Amino acid sequence: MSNFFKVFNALFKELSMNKNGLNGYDLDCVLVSSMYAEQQSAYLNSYETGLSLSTIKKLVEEYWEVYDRDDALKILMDLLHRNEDEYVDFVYKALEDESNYEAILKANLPTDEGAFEYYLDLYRSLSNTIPELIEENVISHFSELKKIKDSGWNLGRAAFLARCCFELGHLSEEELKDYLGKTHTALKKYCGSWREYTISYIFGRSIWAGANNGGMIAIAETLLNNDKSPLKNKAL
Amino acid sequence: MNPLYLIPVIVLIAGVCYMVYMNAQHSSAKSEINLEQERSRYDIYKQELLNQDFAKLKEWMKDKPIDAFTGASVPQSTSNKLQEIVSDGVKNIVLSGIGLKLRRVETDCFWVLSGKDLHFLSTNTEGDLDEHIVFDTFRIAAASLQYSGVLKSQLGIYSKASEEYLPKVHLITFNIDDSSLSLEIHDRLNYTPGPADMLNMKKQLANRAKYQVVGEKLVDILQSRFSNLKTT
Repeated sequence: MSNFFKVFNALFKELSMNKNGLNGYDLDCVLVSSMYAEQQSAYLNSYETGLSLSTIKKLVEEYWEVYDRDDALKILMDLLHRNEDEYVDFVYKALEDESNYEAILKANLPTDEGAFEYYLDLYRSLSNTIPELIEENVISHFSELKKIKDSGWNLGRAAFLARCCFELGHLSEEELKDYLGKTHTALKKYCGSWREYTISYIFGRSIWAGANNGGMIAIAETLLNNDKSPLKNKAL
Repeated sequence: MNPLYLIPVIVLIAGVCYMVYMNAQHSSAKSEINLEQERSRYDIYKQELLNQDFAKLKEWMKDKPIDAFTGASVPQSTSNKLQEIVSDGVKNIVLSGIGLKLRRVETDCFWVLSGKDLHFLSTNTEGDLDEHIVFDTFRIAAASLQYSGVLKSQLGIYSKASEEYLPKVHLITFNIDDSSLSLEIHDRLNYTPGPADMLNMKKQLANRAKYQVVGEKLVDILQSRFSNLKTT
């Protein structure tokens, strides 16, 4: 299914809810995957995605290059800890203090060329993305991103990918439960609400894919405001 | 003899008289302008242009300081190269991103130096901001600059007399992920006389001088901040 139809379905179809959905803390944990799930028109409220096995296999293998349990564990661990990189904090400090960005980056980033270039490219991506998000009314000021960063994007993808890996047999239900709990705990370190989670997800996606976040913004609005959405009026 | 035959003769004589008159006006107005003296008024002119003719630059730059600004253009060779890169797919993602923004720029463009960042701003046919690309201090520190003479227009045909009003350009070449990207820095802002000034040669030349004094400073300031851009 093309991306267009996925976004179209996400916008105009009913929210996908499993009749045998989770409740309480387990539901809270699975909701970390809600942005990605809604993008794929998958169930929002259960470990099972409701997608066909062929769709899940395509998503996991083609987009994530995950073919077995080892691949799955490697990428899931990476996504879970991606926001713990202390150098990224200096990139955000440089964005905040525009007139001194050169000095901040030079003084605090690793000096070997490859690593420095990696963080410099991140700085450049963020510099381009932030004005676009302000223009699209996702945020009103950079300061809104300073704490949340792109944690929602990393952890949201991690949680949904874990659900897919569970359905392909790469993870057991216990492992999935444990992993989703970890993504939920990690998300709370960065985001104070589900609204912040959606902003953070949109932010991360726009760093990766550039402007034109209309589809993602609409999905976030649906999740936050639709009466049938498990995220509506829910505390993180 | 039919008096109608005299009309072309009268028109011709009137045309010659007008040309002589305008040339005299031009020479007289030109002799009154001392470019060196005008250069001493850089700060005043810069503020004046930013407050009036180029007030939109302040809006487009939002709260960022404007240390210098001038005209810009995308050389035909760069347009062709970017077109190829974009058509080829994403071999160089960053350059492709910039290429999508630059491949069809035929409207007014500007360079703005803000701190140690260079901003390339292109406009659309209505004169509104189209694209805003920032070349940060790290990109500039790895760039090179060379004088490239009078701006080579796509039309390429200008009389010797009008050549002095064409911008002279420096070519700045950035390294974007191991691919080069060259853009032109004009030595003046693009001046087009308004209808009210068409016959006022003195005002036209005074404005041209002002546009040149402000525009030509950008390269000087840029070179003072980046030693790698000094040209011999």
